[in-house]
Amino acid sequence: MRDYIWPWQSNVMLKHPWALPILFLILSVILSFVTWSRSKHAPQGQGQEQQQQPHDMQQEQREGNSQESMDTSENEELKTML
Amino acid sequence: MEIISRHQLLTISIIYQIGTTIIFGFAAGAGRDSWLAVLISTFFGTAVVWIYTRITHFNPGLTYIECYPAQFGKVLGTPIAWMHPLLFLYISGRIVADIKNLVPTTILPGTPPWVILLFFMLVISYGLYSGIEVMGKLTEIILPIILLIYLLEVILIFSSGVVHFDNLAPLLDKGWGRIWEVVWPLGIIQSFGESLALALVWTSMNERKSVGRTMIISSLFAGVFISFTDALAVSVFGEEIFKRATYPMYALIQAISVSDFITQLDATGVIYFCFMAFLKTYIYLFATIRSLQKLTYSKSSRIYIFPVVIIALFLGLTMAPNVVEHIAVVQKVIPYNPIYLSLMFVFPILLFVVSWIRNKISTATS
Repeated sequence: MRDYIWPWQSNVMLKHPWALPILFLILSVILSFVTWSRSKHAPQGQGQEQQQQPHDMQQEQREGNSQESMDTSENEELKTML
Repeated sequence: MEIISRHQLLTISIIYQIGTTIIFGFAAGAGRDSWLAVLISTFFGTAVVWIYTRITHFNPGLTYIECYPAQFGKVLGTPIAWMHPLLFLYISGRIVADIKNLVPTTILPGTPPWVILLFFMLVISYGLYSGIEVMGKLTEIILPIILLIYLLEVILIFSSGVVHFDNLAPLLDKGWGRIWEVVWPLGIIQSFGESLALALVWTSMNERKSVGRTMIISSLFAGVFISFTDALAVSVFGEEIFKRATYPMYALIQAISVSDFITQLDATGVIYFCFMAFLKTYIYLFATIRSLQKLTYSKSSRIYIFPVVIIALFLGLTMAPNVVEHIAVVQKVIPYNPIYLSLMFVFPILLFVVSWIRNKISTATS
């Protein structure tokens, strides 16, 4: 039982190789609550940016590129008019 | 935000991937065929690294850690994401333990290990505080020096008359079995699977499109470098001594003796071994700190430097009482550890497939 307190030690890893993975699993679940609670209190935009789906961000990038191209074409028209 | 160039990422990656394998040898279990096992591991390892780069490519604007909650949902993805900094911290502890065993054995036998590690971690802390940009510039300077020293050592080894290419033959006399045992999974985990920590550095690069190509070049270079070193060690020592040596590369440098004048150059080897271990520890701790910052929605990552360094130091000091047990864990436990296999292979492949499918769907709908 005492071994399970130090699962990263080499003698424990050789005798009980499952101790460290179980510790990782328990810690990751516990620490996940930290992430979930802090995401609610994160500054607006920070949490949303991190929770935003990546394909949404790609869509926004494409829209931003098309908007930029529209703006440049409008600028070119203005220049020719002047 | 800290920015590194493509060249800086290349130098960081090369030194990182060569890392501590240059100290302990790579694929020693394959005996005289170890160089071939390394080349095969390089092939598969480069594919694994490519998968990591594609995951970040399919998820623009997100670090590797953030991809898991983004793609798998917060209930499943967040615990998986949290396993990464825990793994990085554990591996950094292992490297600290490597230094604890290597330096007192070789160049500083009278110095207490905790003193060596304390100064080692103080320098790493300063590097973490300074940022990845400083480390990029440092590796740009150090890598040519390391390669030059290595080249000089190779020339001196050949000049010492200790190289016997007969030791490399016959090739594959014991079949492919021992080669595949070494390649999967440890051969791919070491250097290549561990490149997972570098994924947290990629977001700092200014030319994001070049990440994939840079990582493939560094993986191939590191693999060829290690393969050549293994072949050299086998040609000098023969199969049996190479398999049993604790620090085969260190012993290789000790074998240099040119006219009984140029001898005892092992200290130079230990110095660049230490730098490689330093960089590898730095990257793991950087990845840990960056992961903690992202997972806790913190504004600054500096608040995590001190606790993370203390934990890594504690892990390194308490991990193994001697080098034999330390190496036994690498050979018997780590290749079959579910944490390593899942975080370095299973989850990245699943994430790659999910990211690719979603990317295809969003491209088709737009």
